[in-house]
Amino acid sequence: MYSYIMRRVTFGAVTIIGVSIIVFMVLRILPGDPLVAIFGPEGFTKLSEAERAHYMAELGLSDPLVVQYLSWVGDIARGNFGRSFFRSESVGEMILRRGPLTAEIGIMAVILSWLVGIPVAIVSALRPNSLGDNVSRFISIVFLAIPGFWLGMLIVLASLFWLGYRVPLAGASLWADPWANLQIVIGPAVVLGLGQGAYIARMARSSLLEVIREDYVRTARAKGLSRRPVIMLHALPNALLPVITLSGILLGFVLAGSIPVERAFGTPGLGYAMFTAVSERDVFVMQNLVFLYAVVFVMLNILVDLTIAWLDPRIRYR
Amino acid sequence: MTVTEPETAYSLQQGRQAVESSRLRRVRGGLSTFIRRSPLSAFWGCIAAAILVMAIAAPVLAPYEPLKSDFRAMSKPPNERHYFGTDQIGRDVLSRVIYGSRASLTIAIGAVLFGTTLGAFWGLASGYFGGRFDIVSQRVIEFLQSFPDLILAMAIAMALGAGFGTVIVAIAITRIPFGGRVIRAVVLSLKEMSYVEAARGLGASHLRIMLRHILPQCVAPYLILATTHLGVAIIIEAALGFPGSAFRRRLRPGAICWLIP
Repeated sequence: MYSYIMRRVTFGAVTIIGVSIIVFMVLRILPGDPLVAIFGPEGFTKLSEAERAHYMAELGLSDPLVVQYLSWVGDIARGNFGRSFFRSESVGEMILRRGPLTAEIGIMAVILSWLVGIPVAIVSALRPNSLGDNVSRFISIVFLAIPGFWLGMLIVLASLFWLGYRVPLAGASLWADPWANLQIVIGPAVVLGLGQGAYIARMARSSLLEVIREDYVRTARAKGLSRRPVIMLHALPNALLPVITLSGILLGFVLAGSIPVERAFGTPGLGYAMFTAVSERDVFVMQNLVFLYAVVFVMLNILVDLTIAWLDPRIRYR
Repeated sequence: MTVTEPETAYSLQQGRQAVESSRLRRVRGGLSTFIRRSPLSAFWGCIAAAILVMAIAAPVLAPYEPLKSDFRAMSKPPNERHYFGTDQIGRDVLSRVIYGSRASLTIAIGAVLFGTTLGAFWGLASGYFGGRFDIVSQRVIEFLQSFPDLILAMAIAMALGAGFGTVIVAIAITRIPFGGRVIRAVVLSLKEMSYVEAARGLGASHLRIMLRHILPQCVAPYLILATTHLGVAIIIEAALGFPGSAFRRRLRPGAICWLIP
């Protein structure tokens, strides 16, 4: 197990370096001038050549690319995430202030997706191709196809017009004001959780159907155990392994999906910050946020891999 | 339906008709079996076909001009003149949805054709040659896969700036790793087959083996992959063109995507 952890973590570190190079390449080398973003297209044309060079030097954009890359990585290693072009708050502060909300949304969405997906999968897998199975598969396909932000907009509009309810505007932390915090978080979490629950239900159904056909399940039935304990205690734990892996991948969907969904709900989380950064072409904020998201995604995947290896010893000895 | 004279026994024309009708019957038979076996797939297949028809026949089907605003009917709920209602500046929403299917499908198909195909060829080469090239390719693909799709697409679209083509390229790049992975796995098992060995024994070049002997076997997994990713591409495209998004404002004027009021 120890060597497996070491191997996985080393791979993760290599991946994070590769990811940082890709982020840097995408946001610095591709065309698009940050000065246009700061001064606007009209203001940009009014700048003289010398002024342009001055501002580029001030932003550190006239150094060679390798130097720029190393200084960026060094800054991040020292915990300095840079500043926005438009806001006084540093990116680090912004992440600390807004990150917890998005993390809460992600965790709640994952829990919700399991709570919804697994029971549906069990019901479908017990009677494959029955009416209940077909209905639940139909509904899960519908939820796969619906974009989360669209559902989010509908929920916001419906609660506003029919119930006259509006989510509290100010961001509230979990500890200071749990009730307001729950109101802010619950909408995006439900929308993202339902979308993921559909994937989970489909995966768990097919995996459960596979496991139910195995010999040991038939043995358990043959020795006289009733249906319910066989499914819940013998079949389900083995069927859940691929679901855990899928859940790790889906966490990426939650991270990405939270961007438009938080925008739809007006949630003051990191996703909304990313959205704003894109709209304002705030290159440095975008660069650091994209990197942060990718690092979180890589780390979560390592965590999921380690969990799987811990649950299933066959994997770590491969 | 004329009664054929016995002396004009079996003309070529009739023969061809017979073949065509039997082929038609076979297609129809296959379709009806498919519908009976999996009614759900058939149902969704019809919907997909309807959307395709809608996109192609948009000018015929749309009741109004999608970009023309009618200031006497602004922000109207659905009524008998505008089945989907109108938006803030009086444009017919139904027409915009119908025209929007064009943009959405073009972007999705373009992104998948470009991205998945590029990934597939990359996977073909990396699986076939193996060695150091394969190791490096796998790492690069892993790096690309470490980003959630939408985030990478957003970053690329932002860096490249405005446009229809930009969105296609941005989504296409996120599709590359999937094509690469799947096709590489197929190629790895195919290249050990004895018919590939036979071709090599006959002196076929690497290029010929890859294109004539291995590539045709990759078509089926490629098609499955591509159709799945069409849906993913449409969802990413919708999120990029989400109301209030920067990309929507910068899209070429006149380009309408779905879900953009």
